[in-house]
Parts: sequence; structure tokens; C-alpha cells
Amino acid sequence: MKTRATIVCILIAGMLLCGCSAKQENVYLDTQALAEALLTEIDFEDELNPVDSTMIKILYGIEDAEEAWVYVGSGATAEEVAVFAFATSEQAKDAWNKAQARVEEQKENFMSYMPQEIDKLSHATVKQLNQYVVVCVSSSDQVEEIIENYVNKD
Amino acid sequence: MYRYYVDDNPYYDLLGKRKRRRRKPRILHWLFAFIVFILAIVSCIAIFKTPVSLGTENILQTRDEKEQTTIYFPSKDNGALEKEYNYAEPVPLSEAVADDYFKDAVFIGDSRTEGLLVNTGLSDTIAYTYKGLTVDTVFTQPAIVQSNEKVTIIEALRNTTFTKAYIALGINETGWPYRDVFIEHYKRVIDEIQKINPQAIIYVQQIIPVSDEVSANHSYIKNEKIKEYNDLIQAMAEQECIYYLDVASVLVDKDGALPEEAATDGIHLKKAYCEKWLDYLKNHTVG
Repeated sequence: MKTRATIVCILIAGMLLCGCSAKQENVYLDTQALAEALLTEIDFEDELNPVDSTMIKILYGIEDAEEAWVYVGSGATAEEVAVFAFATSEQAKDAWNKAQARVEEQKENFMSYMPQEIDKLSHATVKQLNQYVVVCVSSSDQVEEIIENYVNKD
Repeated sequence: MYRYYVDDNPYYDLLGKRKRRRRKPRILHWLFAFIVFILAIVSCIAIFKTPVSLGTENILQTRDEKEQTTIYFPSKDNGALEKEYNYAEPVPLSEAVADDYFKDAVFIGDSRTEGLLVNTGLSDTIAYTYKGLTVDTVFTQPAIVQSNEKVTIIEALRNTTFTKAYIALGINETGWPYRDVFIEHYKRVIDEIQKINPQAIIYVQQIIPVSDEVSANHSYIKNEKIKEYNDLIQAMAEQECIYYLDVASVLVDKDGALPEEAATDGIHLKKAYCEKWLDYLKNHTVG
């Protein structure tokens, strides 16, 4: 009797735990505000300027974002900021892969050209938060903290 | 018995009249007449093509490497004289074109050209750029993705439809020890593009100088060397009959250096200066 009760309790606990882990947090992010905060609160060496959707498609291969704020440098550095919002987390996952691919390609391009930028690329933030993707290439270690300040969770 | 009179006299017939002799055709005579006819035609053409003197102006100048040559030809339409393009000089100011002029243009260059296209938003064009690109790596560096494979810029051009090419190379080669090697390799790039697309309009751009600070402190990028290279590029443009663009004229200060505010690192132009560069390109076209 005790053994059966123990087994049933374990099974119920397991089911509860599985249910808990399957439940996703709802995340809300003001993409424009986050992009501006990253631009102003991080001390970039380069001048970063916004690019339009056509250029975003060329640089990242991303064209299905509901919101996209991308800022690139003059070519003097690898510094960059990109914040995207998608309809679903699956689309965001795909975009995250593309952002990772861009960072890797930039590493390849800068390796022989400007090796001093490799450190920034190696420590680049490429983060997915449900349906959002955030990219930041800089020498700052404040990026995660800034992102946390703009993420609202339910 | 009949007597047969044989007409064996070549000059007179049987009645005593003088015969008209049929002479054998003389091939040599005809050949001579033909040669004279051809010479007459050639002479007429030569006379037609000879430049016309307009009095005091010295129109016809002896061509050598130092002098500019301007040759005038009578127009076939109205007799007015038309001026042949002088490839020794930069492309003159023209009516501004819109962005769509560059739709079928290919931009070949290094990180500075990449910055030009990204910072001005000129996305509806063909960008064959690569950081650190040189006149050699145009042939050897896999840089452009075509059919899911990275190919060199020259290989990519072979599979590209374009009517104009804007080339901006040279700054990464300022560290090379021999100037003639640089320009010889640059000519190879031009020759290859002309072979790929003989009809393409080829614009070759001046190397944009760097800031005074970079010129003073960089290990090999010096404005003096850039000027030497630009002189070679301009001479090459004349020899290859391609169009030379004096882009630096709208970007540098009175001392011929890039102003400090033009670039974060004294080399790569900021957005405002990229826009000046593009504006220059839009106002200096040939067709």
C-alpha cells in the first residue's frame, strides 16, 4: 500500500514538473527603445547608422521581421546593433541562426583585415527571447544588463 | 572545180577592207586598272578623314604620353566638329542621375566601397566588395556567394549581367614595394572585365586619401603614396580607354587629406561623407 502510494506521488510530482517546464514565459520587449538604449548607453568607437529593410535582408538574410532596428558602422570596426521582433518564436529561432551566421562571417572577414575586432565578435551578444532577437557587437560588458532592463515578463 | 579562197590575211578581208582585229584580253591591263581603282578609293577615304585645320587652333597634336590629345572629326550629320572623349581627364560634370542608374552597375571594391553602399542605402545595385580586397585577390579570394557557393569576384562577374562597373581599389596595396607591379596587376583586372563584357562602361575611381593622422602614423598608408598611385591609375585610364573618376575632389581638405570629421579611423568614411561620394558619382556619368 505504501509502495503504491509512493509511486503515485512520484508520478504526480513528475507530471507537475513537466507541466511547469512546458509553460513558456510571455516576454514583451520595446524593440525601438532597447535599440536606442544600446546605442546611447554603450560607448561605441564607430559611428553606427540605421539601415533599411533591403539592406537588412542583404546583411542578415532576414525579411520576415515584424520590427527591425539595425545599426551598422562605417567599416572601421565590426560594431553593430540589431533588435528584431517576429510573429512567432520559431521565426525568431530561424533569425537567431542567421544572426549567428552573420557574426561568424564577420569574424572570417575581419580575421586577416582587422584582427583587433575579433575579440568583439567573439564576445558578441546574439540572444533570442521568445519572438525577439537581439544582436550587439561591442567591447562593452553591459549589454546583458541593458537588455534585462527592457524585458518585461508575464 | 571550185577554187576556195582562204582568208588568211589578218588585216584585210577578201574585198580589201581593213579588218577589225579582236585582240586577246590582256589580264595584266585589267589588273593594273583594278589596282588604280582601289588606290583611288583609298585616297578619297584618306582625304575625307584628314583633320581639318581651323586656322590658329592647333587641333592636331602629336600624341605622346605626356600631352593630352584632342582630335576633332567632321560629323557625318551636319558637318559640325565633334570632340572625341579625352580619357586622360576625369569624367566631367554631367546631369545628375537617380539611384536606378546603378541598378545594372557592379561595384568592385574593398571595405570603403562596402561602407559607401551600406551607409547610403544604395542596395539596388550589384555589390562585389570584400574587406581588404586588392587587385590580386579580385582573382583569387572567394568572396561572392553564387549558387550557394563562394566564388571569386572575377568568376562572379562571368555570371553577372551588368552594363557599368565602378572599381575602387588600391589603398590596401599602398604597402606594396613596387608601383609598376600594382598598376600592371590593376590593368589585368581591367583587361579581364573588358574581356568578360566588352560593352561595359568601366569607371575607375581615384584612391581616396586618408587623414593627416593616419598618413603620419600608419605603417604603410601614406597620402604621398596614394597620390603616386592615383597618377598611375589616371594614366592607365587613358591607355585602357576607361573613365577616371576624381572622387577625392569632393572629399578632401585644401591640403589633399581626408578631414578628421570624415572618418572615425581616418580611413573609412562616415555616412555624411559616403553621401558626398555617392553624390559625386551621380553627377559624373558618361551614359
